[in-house]
Amino acid sequence: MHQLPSLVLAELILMPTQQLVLTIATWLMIISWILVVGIGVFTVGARVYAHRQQRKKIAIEAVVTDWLMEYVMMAEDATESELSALLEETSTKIKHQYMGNSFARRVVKAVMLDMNRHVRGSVANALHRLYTSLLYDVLALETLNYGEWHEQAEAVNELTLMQVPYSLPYIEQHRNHRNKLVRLQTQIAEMKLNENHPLGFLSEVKTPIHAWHQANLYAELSKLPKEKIPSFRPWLQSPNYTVVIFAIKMVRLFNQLDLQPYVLMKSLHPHLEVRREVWQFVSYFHIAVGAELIEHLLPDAEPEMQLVMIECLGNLQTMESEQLLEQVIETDQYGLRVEAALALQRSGYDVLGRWPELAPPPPPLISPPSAH
Amino acid sequence: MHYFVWLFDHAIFAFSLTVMASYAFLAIYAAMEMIYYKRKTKYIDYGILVASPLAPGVSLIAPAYNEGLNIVDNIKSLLSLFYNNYEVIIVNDGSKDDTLAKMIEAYDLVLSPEVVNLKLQTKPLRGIYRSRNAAFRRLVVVDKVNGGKADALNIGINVSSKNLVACIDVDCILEQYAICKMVKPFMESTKPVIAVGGVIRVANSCEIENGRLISTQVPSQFFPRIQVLEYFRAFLMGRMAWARMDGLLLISGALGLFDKHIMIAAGGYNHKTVGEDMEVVVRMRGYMLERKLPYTVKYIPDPLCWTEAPVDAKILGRQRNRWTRGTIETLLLHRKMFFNPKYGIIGMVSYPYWFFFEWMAPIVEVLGMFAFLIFAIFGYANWPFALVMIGLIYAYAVMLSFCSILYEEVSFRQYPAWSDLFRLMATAFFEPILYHPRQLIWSIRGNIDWSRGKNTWGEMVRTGLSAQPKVPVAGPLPNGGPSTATAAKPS
Repeated sequence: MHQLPSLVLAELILMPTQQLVLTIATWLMIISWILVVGIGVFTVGARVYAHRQQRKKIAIEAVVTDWLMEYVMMAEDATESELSALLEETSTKIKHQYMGNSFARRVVKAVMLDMNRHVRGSVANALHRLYTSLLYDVLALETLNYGEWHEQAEAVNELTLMQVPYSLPYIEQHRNHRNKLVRLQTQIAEMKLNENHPLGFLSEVKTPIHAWHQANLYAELSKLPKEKIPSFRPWLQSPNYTVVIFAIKMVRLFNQLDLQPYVLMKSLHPHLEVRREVWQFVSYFHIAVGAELIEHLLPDAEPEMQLVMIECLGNLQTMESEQLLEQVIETDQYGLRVEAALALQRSGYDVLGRWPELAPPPPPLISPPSAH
Repeated sequence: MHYFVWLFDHAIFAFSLTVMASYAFLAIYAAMEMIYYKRKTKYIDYGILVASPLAPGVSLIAPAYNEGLNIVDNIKSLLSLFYNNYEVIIVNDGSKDDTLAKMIEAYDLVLSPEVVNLKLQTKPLRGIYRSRNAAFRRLVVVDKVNGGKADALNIGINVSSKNLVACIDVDCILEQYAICKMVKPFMESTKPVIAVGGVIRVANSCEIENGRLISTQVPSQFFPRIQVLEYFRAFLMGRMAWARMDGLLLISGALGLFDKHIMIAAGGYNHKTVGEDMEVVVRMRGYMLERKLPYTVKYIPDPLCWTEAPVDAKILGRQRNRWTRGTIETLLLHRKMFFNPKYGIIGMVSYPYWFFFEWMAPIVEVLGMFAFLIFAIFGYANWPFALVMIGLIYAYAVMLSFCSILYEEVSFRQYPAWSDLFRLMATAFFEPILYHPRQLIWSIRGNIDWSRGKNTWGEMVRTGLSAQPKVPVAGPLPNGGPSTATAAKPS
């Protein structure tokens, strides 16, 4: 009798759950095998598809490159009426053969964008006219309004490369887009398409311009003729601290030394990154007055800032900065002492000759046995 | 006994299901991250950083221990990366061969008496060497008493003059734009980035010339080929997903870029563990979380670094044994994080995942096998269930490998030959049968060695990527002299 409950338990609970587990495991195994076959077929299919697309792409590229080369070479010396006829002829050929298929359309566009990177002046203009006559600009503007973020970024990039000035008002709307790639492309577009105020967007930007963004903007700015580079003074006052950082960097890189007093005023900026940039500016131009400023600010600065200032003093290489560094080495703060010594060392000063105690401890004559 | 068998079956089933569910989740999450990454980097021109005055400074720190055979070429390769603002710090970790002499001769090095800020405690420094030749102005050679990889990296950090430090294996082959790609997350993130991890690929059987990868090929040997699949799963699936969750705990010792100041503040590399690469990331994360500082750890899925994978079972076994010990040591050192909400996703998800599925899973698997054997001997084995479970686990393992091959195929396609694709697919079928049991044994040995307090790397032998004769890297090394075939740790 005492075995009855356990038998009931075995019959009612253990056996059915055992069966259920077995069924689930069997089904999972079957599903896994189906997935193995599915993924395998898909992988092979993806490669076959990619190879086929690649072959098609090469074939289209070959034909279109020939047509475009012929078009741009003839366009170089053509009169307006000749160019119109040539444009009509080339665009009809492309439309007829390739514009009906989205893949071919993308390949043609890629060829045009690639060619655009290598041409300038009237040839580039001819290419831009062909681009608009094929209505790529309309498609790009549509994508700009309705596409996903990566498509929007691509559209902005395309409109910028093909110099479509009337797209600027549409592009500007994305200046503070939530996606940073779209923002970056937009700002580059504004710089390239807005000939009168290439950096006008800096006054309107509310989102941070991070370092990667700044490097990209600088890369574009450095391609502009010198006379088109504006004074960065207005942006040194920006409420967006990243814009201030960018402005200080640009003042340094474009040698706008007349803005030195305005930059030095930023040594009291509440944001640490801005102040760090100021000391880099001081280092770069060896601004002698920087040593005086540092002497005044060093005692109350944050530890991180003190290190930046000491490095700056090392770069100044003036009598005053050297004296200041020597004073720091004489203090009892090990971290600051060593940083000051390193800063002096960089300027060729024989630090170890004067402060031999700063040398790293010598190794024992016989290496100690390892701890393990 | 029936109840016990019932309980055993159900426990094994529940554990397996949890492991499988977590892998499925990681695979899906990784796919989402991969799509996002590919879209994000479609228009990136890394070239703008190469000579940009706005590019942040990077110190490449590469420890070298008895690397005399290849050191000159390895340095040449490191000095020719596409980046302007960087220095290469080679730490000669008390090599017993002619590593230092070869460097001095090839690069015209002279002893340079310098002040060094000893922020991290290390074994004594013998000297710092710099080149008289301006062409090698980026090269700094640090000679020190042997102390292991962690110690060598720490002294490199002390000597470095840049704000970002890349800790690498000296004989890894880096992609030319590797620094540009790894620096980008530091430059673009809204949250401060404390570390960036890169993908490691297996370079065995690949064509290499003058320290550059010329063409890629799936390794012809079995173990390296298996490791290709392992690396796919680890780097394209596991780490991609963890990076998306911001829960990455491991950055391979072969390639990682770190914020130097945070690294120093957190205490640098721990030379008391053989899993220093994982431990430092966990500690840096802990440091930031305990101070409630905003931060993130990023990950780059591009194939940036190619390394030689162990070729024979003995060496591979030592490597896996060490990885197991490193994982256990790291988990125990940071046990306060276990299910601790103070540590956010690290404490609640990443750490428990590593505990249950990286440390415990092999133990559970082996215990399960033993228990089943005992049941079978006494006639209690549930054979239908056992067979279905074996079939399920095998099918699932093959499916995950296929999934990782698909990810590689649609993302980077580093092996363009059809034969390579089919060889990888075939390997996926053999791996669970021919390789997984060995892996279990190595893992269990790692647990046993850890419990005995073993703390050495063990002898490592590498054949060399340019088909050099076999070179033994002397050992056993105290905490491990730096060796290349050991550092790319997939999870």
